[in-house]
Amino acid sequence: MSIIDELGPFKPLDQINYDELKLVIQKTVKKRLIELNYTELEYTIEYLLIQLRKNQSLITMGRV
Amino acid sequence: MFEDIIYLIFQIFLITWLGSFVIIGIFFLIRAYQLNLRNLIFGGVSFLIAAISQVGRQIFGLNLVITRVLLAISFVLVIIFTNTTFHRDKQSNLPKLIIFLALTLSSIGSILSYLEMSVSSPLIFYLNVSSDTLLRFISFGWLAWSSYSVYREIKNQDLEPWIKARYKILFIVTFIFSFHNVPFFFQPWNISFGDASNLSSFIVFGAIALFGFTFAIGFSLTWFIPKRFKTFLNKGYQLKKDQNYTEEELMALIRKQMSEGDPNTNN
Repeated sequence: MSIIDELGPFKPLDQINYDELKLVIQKTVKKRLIELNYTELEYTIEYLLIQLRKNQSLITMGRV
Repeated sequence: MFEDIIYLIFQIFLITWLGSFVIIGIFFLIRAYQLNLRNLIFGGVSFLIAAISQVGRQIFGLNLVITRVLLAISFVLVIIFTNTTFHRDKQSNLPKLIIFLALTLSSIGSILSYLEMSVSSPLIFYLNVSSDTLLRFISFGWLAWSSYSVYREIKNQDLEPWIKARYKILFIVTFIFSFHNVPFFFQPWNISFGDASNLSSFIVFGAIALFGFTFAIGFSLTWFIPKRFKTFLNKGYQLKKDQNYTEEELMALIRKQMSEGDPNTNN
C-alpha cells in the first residue's frame, strides 16, 4: 500500500529499484506508522532500511 | 599439424570469451532499461568496452596505451557495478577503498604501458603485468567476495533455490576469473601475446583463453539460467503465496522479526 501511495498504482513491482524502495520506507511507510500510533517508529524504520541495505543485491539478482 | 589444431581451439576459446562479453553487455543494457536498474548499465558498458579493447588490440592493432586505458575503464566499471549492486549506503569504507586502489592501479598501468611502448625492457613489462594482474584480481575478486558474502547470509533463508544458485555460480566463476591474468607472468617479455612460434607464449595464450572460456560459460550461465535448470534447482521448493495482511498484522510481524533479533543488522 505504501508503494502505491508513493509510486502510484501503475508502477510494476518488478521495476521498483533500490532508491524507490528506500524512499517508500522513509516516507510513506513512516507516515502510515505515525497514523497507526506505532510506538517503535524510528527503530522500525531503521530496521527496515538495514534489511533493505543488506539484501539490496536481490533486487538485481532476483530479477535479471 | 597438432599444434595448429590446439591453437585453433585456443582461438575459439578466445572468440567465445569475447563474444560472451558482447552478449552479456548488450543483455545488461537491455535489462537495465526494462527493469529500471541503473547498476546494470555499469556492468553492460564494462563488458562491451572490454570486448572492444580486445578486438581493437588483436585485430586492428590498437596501441598498448589505448588498450590498457580502455581495459582499466572496464575494470573500474565492474567495481562500480559491484558497489551499486551490493554496497549502496553501507557504512564500510571498503567499496571506496577498492575504487581508489583500482584508479591508482589504472593510472600506474597506463604510465607503464606508455613506457613499455617507448622502452623495451623486461622490468617495465613485468611491472606492467603486475599492475594489470592486480587490477583484474581486485575488480573480479571484489565481485566474487560481494556475491559470496550475500550467499552466506541467504543460503538458509526462504528464497527460491535458483536465486541462491545464481549467487553461488557468480562467486565461483568470478573468483576463478580474478586470477586469469596470472599466466601472463610466464609470457616472454619480448614476444607478442599469442605468438604460436614460441612455446611459452603458446601455453600462456592457451591458459588465458581457457580461463576466458570458463568465465564465458559460467558467467553466461549465471545470467541466462535455462528454464529447465531453474525448474531443476527449484525442485521440491514450495513458492510461498503473498499473503494479505492488515497493517496491524504487518506491524506485529515486523515486531516479531525485530525481537527475534538479526545478529547482522549492524550494516
